[in-house]
Amino acid sequence: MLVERYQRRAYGIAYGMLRNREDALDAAQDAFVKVFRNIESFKGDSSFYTWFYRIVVNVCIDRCRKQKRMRSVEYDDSYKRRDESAGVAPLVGNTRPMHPGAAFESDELGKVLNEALGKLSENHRTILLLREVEGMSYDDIAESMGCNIGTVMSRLHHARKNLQKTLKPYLEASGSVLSKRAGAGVRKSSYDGS
Amino acid sequence: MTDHENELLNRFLDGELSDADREEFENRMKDSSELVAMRDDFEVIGAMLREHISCESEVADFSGFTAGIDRLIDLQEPAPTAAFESSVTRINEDKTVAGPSNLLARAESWWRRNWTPVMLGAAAAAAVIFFVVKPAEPPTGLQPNDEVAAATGNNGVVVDSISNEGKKTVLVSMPAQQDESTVIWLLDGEEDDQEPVEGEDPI
Repeated sequence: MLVERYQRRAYGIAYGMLRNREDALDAAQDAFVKVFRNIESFKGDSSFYTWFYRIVVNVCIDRCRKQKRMRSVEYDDSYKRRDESAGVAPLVGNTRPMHPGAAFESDELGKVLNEALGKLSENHRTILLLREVEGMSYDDIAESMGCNIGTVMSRLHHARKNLQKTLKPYLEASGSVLSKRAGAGVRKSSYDGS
Repeated sequence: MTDHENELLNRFLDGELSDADREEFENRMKDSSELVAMRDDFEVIGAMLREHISCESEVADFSGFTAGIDRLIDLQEPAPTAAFESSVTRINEDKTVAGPSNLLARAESWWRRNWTPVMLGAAAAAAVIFFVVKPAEPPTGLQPNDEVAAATGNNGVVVDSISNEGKKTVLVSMPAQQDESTVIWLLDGEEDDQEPVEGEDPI
């Protein structure tokens, strides 16, 4: 069945985009509902999965934008409350300092990655996930995202560079741990590193 | 690193280089520790992402997933009535008759997309027809100098002029002799209008 076949992949992309399990499940369900409602508009001249991922990505982008608006309103509310009540502790960020090495010795890898993904733009995050997680070709990504291959390559490079920059402390401090943990998933290249 | 090298590196990692280009890039990497370091970082980042998403997908609970989709569809769509279902059945039968190309659905879809220009075009065409191709005067079947039967007797009367006054057609028959009288015929239109035309003596 279509849902069973694609549910984990849809969830994977949605989770990468939204970084929250409940939101990702909801988004994946919304995407399937849209698929069923718009199945007639699928022309069949493109792969089903490129069309499907486009729907998943659009649903996730919509949710991201709604969440941003909600967060903005919530922040405004809390800011007002702080002003109204003197002596209340100032608003602080919810990220706590964390030793890079410790992050990967514990199960914090996911959190670190989620934070790093969250710093990417929606377009960069989407293309990175479609490429790295789904293994889609540049052609398929371009078709799915409605852009050209040059844009795909450019966004992919910037996404990787930004992620590298964000994860640099962890990559340097925990390189061996990371490599060991991620080693199973590293694609083999024909180049042996001289 | 140049933009070209960046592009080659990404295409190399993603398997988008031809064999010749890949070989050339591998040779280039042998002389550039910076390229190698970046390749390693990018590879590790990609592997971390795959592992992270894969773990999340395995942990996720899909037990109520399909039921949730059904519920969402039901929520967004009112429960079909018997009349609605019979309509759908009839449409489906029509579709079957129309063939696999689903003509009705196509026509509906086309109409939804194009109803505005079509309606505007129809309105413009109606306006053109109304103003340019104005309907001829109500046919009386008579032309000036036609001879018609008089209301009394069988004497023929020559009609000298025909004109329309509102919904009435006026036929005028001038006298041939001075002692004869002018005859004005008023032929009513479709509606019974008992009032005389303005400025006209009722007969």
